[in-house]
Amino acid sequence: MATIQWIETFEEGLAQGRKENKLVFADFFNPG
Amino acid sequence: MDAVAYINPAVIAFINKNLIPLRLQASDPVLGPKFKIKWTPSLLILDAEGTEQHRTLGFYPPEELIPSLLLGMGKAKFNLPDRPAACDCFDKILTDYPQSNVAPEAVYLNGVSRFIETHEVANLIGIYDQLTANYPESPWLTRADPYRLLKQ
Repeated sequence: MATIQWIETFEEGLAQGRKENKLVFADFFNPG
Repeated sequence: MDAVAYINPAVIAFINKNLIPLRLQASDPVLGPKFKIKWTPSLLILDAEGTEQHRTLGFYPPEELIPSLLLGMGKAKFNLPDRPAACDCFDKILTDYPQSNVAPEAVYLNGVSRFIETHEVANLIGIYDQLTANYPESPWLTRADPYRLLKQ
């Protein structure tokens, strides 16, 4: 089953955004 | 979000195709204050420099999450400014998710984007006409009310 390919570090997310020329969707969540 | 929206196949496909999904704890001692996170979930669209372009708070069901993300993507493209790309996002909301809660805002932003690109007043009048016809209860119609006067 497919899942969202979450990145869990901020800098890695931005770097991937630059690499793929995509915007970043940041979900700030409470793990509970 | 995990129990409903993030397991929805359409949501998974949309996010993986169009965005870089980044999951961060709201309690992060650096990023929490940096982005002034007070509520969870806080859903942000960031550009690749980390600048916030759009934010929503609280739970979104799958049928509302995708158009909300499209709205945020459109706003980010508008701000670049890449208004044709912004209009593509707003158009997709209106084509694929016309009943979503963000559709009236998409009508408004789409028309304004097109007016800025073309300087054709018909785009502003079109906002008023579309909202009147399709979303008469929306507060975005109130914001578009001055465009009614352009018909005279």
